[in-house]
Amino acid sequence: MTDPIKAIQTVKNRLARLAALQALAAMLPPLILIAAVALGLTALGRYSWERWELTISAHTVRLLQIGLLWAVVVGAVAAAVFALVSFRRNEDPIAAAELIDLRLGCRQEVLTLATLAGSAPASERSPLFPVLWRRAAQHLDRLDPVRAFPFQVKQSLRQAFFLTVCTVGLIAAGISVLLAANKPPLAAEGRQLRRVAREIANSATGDAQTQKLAARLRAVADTLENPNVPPESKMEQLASVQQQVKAQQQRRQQEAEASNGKSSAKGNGKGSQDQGEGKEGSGQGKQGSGPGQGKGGANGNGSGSGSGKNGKGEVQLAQASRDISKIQARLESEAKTKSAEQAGGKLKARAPRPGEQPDFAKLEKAGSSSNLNQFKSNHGNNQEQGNTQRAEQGQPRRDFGSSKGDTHLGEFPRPGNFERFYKTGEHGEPLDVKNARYVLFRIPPALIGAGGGKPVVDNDRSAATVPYANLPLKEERIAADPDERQLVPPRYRDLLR
Amino acid sequence: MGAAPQARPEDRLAEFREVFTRVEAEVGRVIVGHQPVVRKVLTALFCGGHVLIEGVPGLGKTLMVKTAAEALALSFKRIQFTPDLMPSDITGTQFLSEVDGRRQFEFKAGPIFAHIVLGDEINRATPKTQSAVLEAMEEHQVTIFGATHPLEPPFFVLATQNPIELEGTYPLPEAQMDRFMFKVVIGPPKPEELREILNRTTTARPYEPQPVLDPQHASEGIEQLKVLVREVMTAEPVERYAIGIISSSTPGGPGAPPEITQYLRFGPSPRGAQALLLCAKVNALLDGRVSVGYEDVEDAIIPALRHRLLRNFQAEAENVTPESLLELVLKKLKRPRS
Repeated sequence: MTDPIKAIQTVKNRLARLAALQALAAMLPPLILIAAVALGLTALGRYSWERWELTISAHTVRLLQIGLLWAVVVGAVAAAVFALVSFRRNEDPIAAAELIDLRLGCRQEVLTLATLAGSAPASERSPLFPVLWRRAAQHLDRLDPVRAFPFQVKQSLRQAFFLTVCTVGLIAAGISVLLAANKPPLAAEGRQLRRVAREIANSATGDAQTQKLAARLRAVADTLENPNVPPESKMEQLASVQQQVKAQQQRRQQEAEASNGKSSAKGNGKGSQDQGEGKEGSGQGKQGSGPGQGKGGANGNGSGSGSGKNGKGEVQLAQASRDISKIQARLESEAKTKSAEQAGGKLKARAPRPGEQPDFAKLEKAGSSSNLNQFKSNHGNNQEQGNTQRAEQGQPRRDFGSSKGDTHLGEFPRPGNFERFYKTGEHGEPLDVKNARYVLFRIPPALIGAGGGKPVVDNDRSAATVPYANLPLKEERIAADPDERQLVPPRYRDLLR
Repeated sequence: MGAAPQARPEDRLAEFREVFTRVEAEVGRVIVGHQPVVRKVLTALFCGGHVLIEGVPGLGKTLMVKTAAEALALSFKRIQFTPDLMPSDITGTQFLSEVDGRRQFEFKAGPIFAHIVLGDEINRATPKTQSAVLEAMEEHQVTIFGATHPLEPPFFVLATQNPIELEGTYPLPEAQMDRFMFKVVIGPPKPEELREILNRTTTARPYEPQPVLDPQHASEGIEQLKVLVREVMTAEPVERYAIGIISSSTPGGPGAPPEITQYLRFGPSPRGAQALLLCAKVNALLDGRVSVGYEDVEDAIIPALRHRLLRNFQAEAENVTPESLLELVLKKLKRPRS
């Protein structure tokens, strides 16, 4: 006959081992997954670049790999601790006895034996205790611990699946955040342009020019998203496409006017009841409904429908024009901000106010001079003299951003904005406007030059002292490895080849 | 019959089961149906408790008890409770007698001096009379004029009360209800059972129950079986389960569902827990086990606790029964560790 206490101990040990194993089994797959992701992150990044043009910088990838490997180490330690805790927690003979009761269907007899066996001395036990011992032994005789308490594969798989899904979710979320952070600037603007291009292409009447314009808009969107294209080139392309959009708008307007003229002529010819053509095709995107009411319904309907589509297309063209203008404005403002930062940040964060000029205000504060013109001439002459000296010495000029008109490659003149603002009464009598709700200004029809429209020779214009020519650069191959490598998007690879 | 305490435990167990099942069978030959009621009555007898039976007249309550007494070969007395019944009518009284020319007070025992006492319609007597019986139930003795008269074991009271015709009755106070181990409700018989009742009672030769125990040693034999019941073992988790049931049935107790707090004024007393565990022990013995299981405890909950839950006005107005509340407790309470 089986010793019930020993049998309960055996089951207890088995349950503790199983609990530890199941804890390990539940935590192992997520750890393996994390390790695999850490080791395959580079390949994964390459694939995502090939497939979706999404990538993470190499430095971040390295940091992420180290972090994930550390997570594996910490997870392994946590799994070991968790397994140990599970082992200890399941090392309970009372719990084991209760499980045996459940498995064998004996109503808490093994549990009672396990509870009473070690709790009270034999003399204080119930006279019925031997009966309980024998009955428990009989029950335990038919217990095979390995069969009765197998390794719960399903439960382990369920736990492991849950943990793995959580891990995958966390890793995916983290990588998504890193990918989103690595997106090129102006991506939103590129998307906006693509959306406009799609709408134009979908709503077009099918003419080749509109489709061409849509394709051109898409190309500009690609250019905008490309960080290697300089901002000046982007601005040029935007201006070019803006012109195309406007040209298309004009063409549409002319076509609409022509068709309106035709249809009104037809309506007038048919009779006085053909009215209402004026409502159709007014550029609001509505379907023409007026002509259908008259006698000449067939003709009127055809023209009405066409004009409606034209109207819709015009709305989208106007929308595209507005969007392009917004993008241009944004690029300009960014360029200004950058140049202001490069210039030392003097003009940053404060717009000039009437009667104020930054350099001049500084001079006024210093009390050296209050004559603006004198300051201008002195300032310009000093700068020009310095440039001449530098050119003679073979050094680069320092007139970047001047208003003298002499530009070099990549240098643009900066407008002097101080002349646009005057103090009250500085140039002529000030306007005395009081209690006026509206003030009407009349802009002169044409600007009248200071010299009365006569050509003036500018002898003071600075001229280049060092001749240069736009010769092609000498082809040269550098044997040294590049300092950094940059991934080339698939759509540019053909260009490079 | 009646195994000595030094007999083998297995023999004692077998004897208990035999006595119980034979008495149950004898009663079953007279009383049609109501097997659960018979079992609870016998359980209370072997636990040393008393039973309150609630049911309309004519369901065979008196016959059931009388038959059980005959089967157990125990003395049986019946008291019909009426409003004019006096305590001395139950307990007995001293009367003046003359023996050898000398006058002396002699004690005349009342009907309470029997092994099995049936208190019929106990709620019709005045509280003073009721308390005379209830004191005897608790103390197993009667004190008259300063003299204490012990009641011969096994002393078993079986009181009945009628749930209808409540006018002019004195419902038992809660404190006195608590002294009954079980409250058993007898329902009307089913049509098949009624047919069997008619067959048995309207024929010429009604069945006479045979005594299961030796009439000379019946009381000793029952006392030994009562000892056996108390020797049944209970594991600590099972005890905690029983305690959990009691505390969950107490308003504001740990683990009590909100309905208990909403509908009850008071929960069961420790006597309720004792009744629960003793009944569970008898259930285990009848199942051939010497240790109590969770199911044994669950089986005893309703008869042992239903009369110990004191409902409030809201529960009575909404017709929330103690049985439904106990079932709710049972549903919400989890077994330890499982």
